[in-house]
Amino acid sequence: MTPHSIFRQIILFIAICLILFIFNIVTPYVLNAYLCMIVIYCGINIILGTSLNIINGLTGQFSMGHAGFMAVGAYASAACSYYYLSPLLNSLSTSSFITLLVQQFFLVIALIVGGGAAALFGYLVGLPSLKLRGDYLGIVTLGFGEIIRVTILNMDSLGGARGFTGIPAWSNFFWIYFFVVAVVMTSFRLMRSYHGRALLSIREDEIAAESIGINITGHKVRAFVFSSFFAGIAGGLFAHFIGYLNPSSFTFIKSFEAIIIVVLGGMGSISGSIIAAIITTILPEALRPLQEITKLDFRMVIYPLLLLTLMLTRPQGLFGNKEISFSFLKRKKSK
Amino acid sequence: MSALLKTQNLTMRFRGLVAVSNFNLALSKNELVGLIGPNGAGKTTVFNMLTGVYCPSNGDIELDGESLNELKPHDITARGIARTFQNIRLFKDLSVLDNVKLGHHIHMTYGLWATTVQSAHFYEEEEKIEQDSLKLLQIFNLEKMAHFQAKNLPYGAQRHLEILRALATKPKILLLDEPAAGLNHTETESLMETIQHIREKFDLTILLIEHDMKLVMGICERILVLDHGETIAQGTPKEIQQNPVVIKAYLGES
Ligand SMILES: Nc1ncnc2c1ncn2[C@@H]1O[C@H](COP(=O)(O)OP(=O)(O)OP(=O)(O)O)[C@@H](O)[C@H]1O
Ligand SMILES: [Mg+2]
Repeated sequence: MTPHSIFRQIILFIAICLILFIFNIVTPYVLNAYLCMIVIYCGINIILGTSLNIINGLTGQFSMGHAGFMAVGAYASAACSYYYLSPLLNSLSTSSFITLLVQQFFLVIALIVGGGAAALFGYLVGLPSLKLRGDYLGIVTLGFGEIIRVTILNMDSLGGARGFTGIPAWSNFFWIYFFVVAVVMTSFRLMRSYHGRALLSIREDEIAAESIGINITGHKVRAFVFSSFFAGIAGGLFAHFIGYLNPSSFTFIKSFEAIIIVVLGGMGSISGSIIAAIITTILPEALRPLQEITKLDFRMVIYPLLLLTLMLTRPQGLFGNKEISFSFLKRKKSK
Repeated sequence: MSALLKTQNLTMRFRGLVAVSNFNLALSKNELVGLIGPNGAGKTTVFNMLTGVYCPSNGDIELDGESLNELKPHDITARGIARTFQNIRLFKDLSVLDNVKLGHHIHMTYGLWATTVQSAHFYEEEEKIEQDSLKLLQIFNLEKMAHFQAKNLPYGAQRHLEILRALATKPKILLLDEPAAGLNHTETESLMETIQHIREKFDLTILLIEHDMKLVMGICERILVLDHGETIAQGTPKEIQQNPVVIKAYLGES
């Protein structure tokens, strides 16, 4: 057996699933409902931040519509399970254990539908705008995000402005952190491959990248589709966790939150995005008592102030473009 | 013998300015040709047309009998033309090794799935280009600096690294835009040797732009002279040195 055979990967996959399974069962006993919710939001924000990092950090393209892709994923997967999968599940009269299995299987289908829809939109938005240079992408994606939100606002089948209620709450710690692991691991592996290096080269110098044979539009679009796919998954997980969606959750503020995660963590640093996602989720919550004492929402003062201080003292972000090193975990290179 | 690279009446106009007009070039395999001319003569513009950065206003480019006219820069590189830039364009924040590895891009074959599951194919290819890149770095004795960020290399080494990155694409034709600019006397001498060495080792055809006459006259077999976009002379180094039109173009300029 070679050390990097498929077998090894399967063992790793099973081990991760087992750990997540235990995590899924134990967490609700250890943490109260409020803390559980924070852990869930951390997971969703890690997926959002890490996926946006692929396009904004690694490839150096400035997308400002991540919330739009999240919304597409959230509503597409919610519609899929609300209109099709949930009635189907109810019509099955099997034992509760089988129902649970089918339900979890349906969740995965709904998530993939959501991620797929977001990826498709990513392709449609990315293909024309990524051919242009510079700031066009920012403007187009910002516009796209708003168009999506306004469109949903006017779609009665998706609840419109009232919100989409009755989405089955199928998602759980397991799936949220399954996709956290998925997006983080694929990002790390991408970075170490020639596909990832091509993205970095585009960020560094597009003309030089083209001169060594890199199809920059092709790679940008791929990165954008990949990034949108995971934003869609994050949306789907969110929808199936709280069981309720409202277009106001997906304003451009949400896109900016994702950008803040990437910038705070350090453009291009995956570990940075993870840490920053956790900080930006926990910090406003940690500042909540302040709001209760003063009866004023000081969070929105302190939070930007902290960001500002960080940007002034460490403009490259917490991690710059470095990664937390796990080299001590890797097998020693035999010479 | 038919030419490897051929241009016919290649012309580039920027609004009113004719940067290059009716440029005709026929490069045979293994030739080392120099392209010289005063500042603003249109030399870099020729390179930009040959590599697809600019789309020529007029004229044709053929490589091995196939037209390159409508191709994107990355397609042209894949067909076998690689280049360096007058104002060095390295991937500054990436490591020296990664810069050379990136040069191998078009020869990589493993897919996204192999990347995701880290298949044996992924490891084999990555291992191979790591070795190949380190070997290339030895040409300019850069292997000890493989893990430096490219921007931290001394200026001369940055020029070298750019040549190596272009070589990694395994080109048929190498275009060098002022490879000796900013190098001192000894560095230029050793560069001359290296250029001849890599031409033999990699079976290359080289077209180079250079202001350093010692280098051009020393290693080029044939020289083309541009002035105000016009090809005012071509011939062997000896002929060019004695050509009154060339002397006038250079003297008239300064
Ligand atoms: N993108 C462009 N737009 C407009 N004019 C251009 C462009 N690129 C080059 N030129 C003009 O074309 C002419 C030729 O420029 P080019 O860079 O090819 O000269 P060069 O021979 O390489 O000179 P140097 O020795 O200074 O590098 C110059 O007058 C330059 O200003
Ligand atoms: Mg020039």
